[in-house]
Amino acid sequence: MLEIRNLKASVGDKEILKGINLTVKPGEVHAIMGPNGSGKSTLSAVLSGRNEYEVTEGTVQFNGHNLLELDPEVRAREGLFLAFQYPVEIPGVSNINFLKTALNEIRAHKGLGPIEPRTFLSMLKEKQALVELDGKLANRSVNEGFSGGEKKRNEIFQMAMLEPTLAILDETDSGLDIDALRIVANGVNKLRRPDNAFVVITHYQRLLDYIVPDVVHVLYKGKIVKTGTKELALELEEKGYDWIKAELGEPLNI
Amino acid sequence: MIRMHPEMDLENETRIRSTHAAKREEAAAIFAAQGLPTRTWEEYKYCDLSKHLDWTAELIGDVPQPDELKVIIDNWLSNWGLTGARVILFADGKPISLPHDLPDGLSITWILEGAEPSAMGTLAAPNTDPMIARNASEWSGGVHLRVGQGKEIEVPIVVLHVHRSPQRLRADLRFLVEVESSASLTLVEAYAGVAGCGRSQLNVVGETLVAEGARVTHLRIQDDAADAQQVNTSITSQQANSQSWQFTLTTGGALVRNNTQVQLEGQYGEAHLLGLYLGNDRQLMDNHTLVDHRVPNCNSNELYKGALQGKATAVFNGKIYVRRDAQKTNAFQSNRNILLSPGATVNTKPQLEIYADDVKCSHGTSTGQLDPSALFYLRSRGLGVESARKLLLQAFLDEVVQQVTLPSFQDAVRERVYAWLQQP
Repeated sequence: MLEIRNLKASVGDKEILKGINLTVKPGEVHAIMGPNGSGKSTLSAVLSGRNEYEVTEGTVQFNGHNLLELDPEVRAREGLFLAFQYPVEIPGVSNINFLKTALNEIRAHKGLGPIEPRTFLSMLKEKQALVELDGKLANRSVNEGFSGGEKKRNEIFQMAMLEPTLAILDETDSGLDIDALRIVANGVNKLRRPDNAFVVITHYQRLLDYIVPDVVHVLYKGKIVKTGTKELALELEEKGYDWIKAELGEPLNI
Repeated sequence: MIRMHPEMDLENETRIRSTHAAKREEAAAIFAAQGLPTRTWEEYKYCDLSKHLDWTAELIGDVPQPDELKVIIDNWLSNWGLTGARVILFADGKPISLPHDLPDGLSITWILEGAEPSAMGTLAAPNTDPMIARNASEWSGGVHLRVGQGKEIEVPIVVLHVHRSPQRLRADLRFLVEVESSASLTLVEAYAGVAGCGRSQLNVVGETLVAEGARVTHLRIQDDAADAQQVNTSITSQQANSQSWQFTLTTGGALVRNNTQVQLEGQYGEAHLLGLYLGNDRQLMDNHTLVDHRVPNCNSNELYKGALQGKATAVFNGKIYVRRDAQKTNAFQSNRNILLSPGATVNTKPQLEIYADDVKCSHGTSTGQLDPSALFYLRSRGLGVESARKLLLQAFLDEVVQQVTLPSFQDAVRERVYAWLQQP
């Protein structure tokens, strides 16, 4: 589904991703962990098509396409979804109008006609329930005046509506209390299917108690330095990132 | 009834006529001395009328057929969600018809030469602006609306000017609106051009007197033909506890200059000014507004938003005066612009002059492009660049639209904005 080969990316003169290799297959959940500044958010930004990063080397194949050549909207229509770490507030644009437009443009890309209003409505209700999103929030302007937790739930709600094949969750757990975390994770778990996949980017192991990954990667200084099973996340939680540094033969900051 | 002696009557009439003739001459002298404003006039810095206007065009002679006009009016009303409204019609610069079947308490009359209402000219002084002087000297048609004390007029009253002749048109029109104490009125002032009409030049002066406790909603639609030119001066004077809501939508015309002024003369008055301008090609849209807080305890609120494409230019100049006595004034002003093309220009200038010390005033202006992070967010959900831009623009402009009272009209304005966004 997703195949990243030797991906290097920079902002200005500064290289942030220094050769990422990652393969995600349908039905899998991958976790990418790493300390601050390791390149986690840069990776999600590059994959979703933000233009402030320059890809200097490497390839990304997504469902048979050269992902890096596609515009952000085409990536989305091909089934890629990024749950933002900091969802944007858009005053005046109603959540529902926005989702309907998005859904119809994705459908048009697949050669389908606009969604039936009734189908859309029942879908809205079903997916709102999935992330326990208040109907009133769904009717409001996109993220305007939402609390941190509501914004993250709205991301998962949008994901549920758009039914991507690959979802990247960029630090979706940051700023969430334990209840919101549980709701968001439950939403994700209910959306797991044999034909879709998730990449969960997180600083903390906590989220992985709820969304159990098949593979855990450790990203450090722009490279994946360790890959393992879910136990790797627990080990990281216990020993901290210094343990990785020690393994790499770097001096510890004590 | 006292019958006047015929001789006395004649004498009186001659005296009145000569007074009016004198007024026209006086105004003409002012205009002759000043001429059309050039860019050296501070108020016309970005809108050089001497360069843009050609006032040599003659008034056209033929009078439109009523049947033809009825179709135009009906279509127009339905397009703007105003079906059922009463229409005062001007066509090709001439007064054409007044509505029948008026609600109790409302009188509507043409303003006739030699029989001008006493309130006419009390707000618009010829020596304050050459275009007022021009109008006072040249006006060829006008209408006077008066709402009696305590009468609340529910049905919207439309003053519609239609230009349908293929000939060029020049006209100076005059409006006078008097709303007596505790009365209310919704007035729609609109300009439309029929496809194929000639170039028009209108110079409009409107005066609105809002008495104590009265309410006026004044909606202005400037959706004229592409090459139309208009200078529109509107001065509203408000007494205590009165309210005014003004909304100006400017979409049509090659040049539109609005001088919109509100004078708050009585305590606890409230003035709302809303504006929306959508410019394309080489359109020039200039809104000069003035809110004059003359007494304490009044509120004013002003929001103008614009979107400009092509090589369009917009000007916003928002003056707020808070006089020394006008303590406890709340005055807010905001002007926001989005430039959709590199060739579009906005000149925006808030101008607050505050002489009282216990007031709350704020102003803000911004000119920019659509928020790139919002644009990216929408694209990341599958929206193409064009539909994402349209959605964001619509949201930006809707902040003004949703404050327009009169629901069916609000929907029509929203549709007009949407249609504007659909054009290439």
